[in-house]
Amino acid sequence: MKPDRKKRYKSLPLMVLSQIVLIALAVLIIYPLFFVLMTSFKSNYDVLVNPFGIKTFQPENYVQAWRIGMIGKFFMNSVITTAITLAIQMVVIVMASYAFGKLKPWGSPVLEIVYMFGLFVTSEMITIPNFVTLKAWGLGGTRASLILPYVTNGLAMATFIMTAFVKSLPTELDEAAMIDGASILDNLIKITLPLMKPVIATVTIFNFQGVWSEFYWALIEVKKDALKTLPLGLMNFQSQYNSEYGILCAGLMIATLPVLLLYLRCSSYFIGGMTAGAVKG
Amino acid sequence: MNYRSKRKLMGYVFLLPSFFFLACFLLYPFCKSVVMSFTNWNGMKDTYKFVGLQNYIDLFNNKNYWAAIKINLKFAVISTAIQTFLGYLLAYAVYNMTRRWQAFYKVALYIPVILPASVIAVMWKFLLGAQTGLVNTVLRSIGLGNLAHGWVGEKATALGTIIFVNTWQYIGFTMVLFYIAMQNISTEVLESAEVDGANKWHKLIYFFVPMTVGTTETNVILSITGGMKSFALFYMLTGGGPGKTTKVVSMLIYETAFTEFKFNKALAMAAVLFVIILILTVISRYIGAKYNYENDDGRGRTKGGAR
Repeated sequence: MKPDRKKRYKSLPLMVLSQIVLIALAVLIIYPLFFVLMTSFKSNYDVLVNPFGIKTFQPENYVQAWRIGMIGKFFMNSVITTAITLAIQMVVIVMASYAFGKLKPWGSPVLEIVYMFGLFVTSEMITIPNFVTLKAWGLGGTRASLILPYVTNGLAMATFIMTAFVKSLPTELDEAAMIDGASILDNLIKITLPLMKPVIATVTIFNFQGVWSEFYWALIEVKKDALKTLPLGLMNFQSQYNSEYGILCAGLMIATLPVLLLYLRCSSYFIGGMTAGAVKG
Repeated sequence: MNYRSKRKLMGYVFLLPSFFFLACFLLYPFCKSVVMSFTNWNGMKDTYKFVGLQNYIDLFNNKNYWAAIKINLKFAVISTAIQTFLGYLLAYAVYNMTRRWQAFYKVALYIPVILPASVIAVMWKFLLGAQTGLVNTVLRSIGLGNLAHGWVGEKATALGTIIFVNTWQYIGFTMVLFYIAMQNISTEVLESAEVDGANKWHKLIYFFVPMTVGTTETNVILSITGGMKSFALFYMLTGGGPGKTTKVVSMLIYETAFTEFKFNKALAMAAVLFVIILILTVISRYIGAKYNYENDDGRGRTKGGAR
């Protein structure tokens, strides 16, 4: 890698051109976000007369958005829904990938194909029966009606990624533990699970993105404001504060910042998680 | 029972929870959707009877549906073309930067990818506002006020605007995928090409493009299928309007099923969309496989390993 570094930059004009294009693009991507952040602290009058600067400082926009605009409620709903979904998913997926990767029950290649079928199904092909099923179970419009299908959504892809990882782990340790009389559950928890940490992080981030952003199913199921998740709640919020720009932007920032900060702290997991999903898909 | 058989049996137990979810909320509903698309089932009552191909015949004559498919195709194809081409060049530009800049661009350009489409939609609706929006304000302040538009509210610009917002969100994703693929190209090959007198453009055309066909294929498939399924961005930016200029299939299915409660019609729409997406995927795979040198490039690099 090192010796060919110099060679890479041989063509100075190309480098300068690349840099100009990339900086322009970075501005195009970051400035709108910065603009929303700035606007979120301004009064409406300031937004109208002084679009690019900031003369007023109105952090109460955030209070207004959080409480009266209910962004706080929507945000907490998203946190709860996502947390429960991810927790259930993790247990279910780890068990499934351990079964496919290590235990290999009879017929597991066929079962794996059945699981992979989940990668191709479009959401429109399952929403109507799911809507009917959940209603029949008495769960229509509840938080559970979001969580159960959400757990299922990321399942196929995550099991696929994780199984590939478990299959790549050495088997010697399991065999040694087996001779020592360790149970299968011991084997999973004490030997395999610690080795799975990186892939668990990848899969969690991947699923987090899916659940946190989900809109279509939430729109179908949830009618009560008290249960709306952030993507859905933003729709109410938008119509409520259509022309109160400061508060609108404050709401957007509340929806954006926590995920953005998390991303900036561990961007490699985010990028790794999404691209792992993409490559396998 | 010996230990091996016990392990295999335990395998089923371990698969049980995931299978429960898949069976209840994926396999069963999928089969039910297919079967019910041949009935007169609606959301009002539980009884139904089979009507043969009637729903599909009606769908075939449904102008709204094919108009929506056309909008989806236009959106998917244009977005894919722009994103793939631009994403590729940007990845090459990033590839030519120093390490520190590479890291910066990778993280910075990827930011919109992590945000929910609904956040992006609300944000851009504000930025694209006719009177006070950032875009028009910038245009006016640099003397291009006559270019200011109602963007999402005008027939001529609505679809193009959504394509722009979608590209704004996902260009970083395409770029990063290509960039990772480029980093996997062995530097020895590039060096030997340089010895033979290849310049940057030669390398781009004769080495980088052919050696990243697999990634191009992945990008195209993701972008095309994503474009055919797109919902939140359209629903929240334009709501399908003005007129029906941005009414996409998923929106039509949603309305048919959950505001008109014509489940049978909606299921036929969904089934046809599913088949169209499947066909587009197969075509992309077929074209990709034809040009893919990664499969047997003689350096022991397999398709999976190269990406």
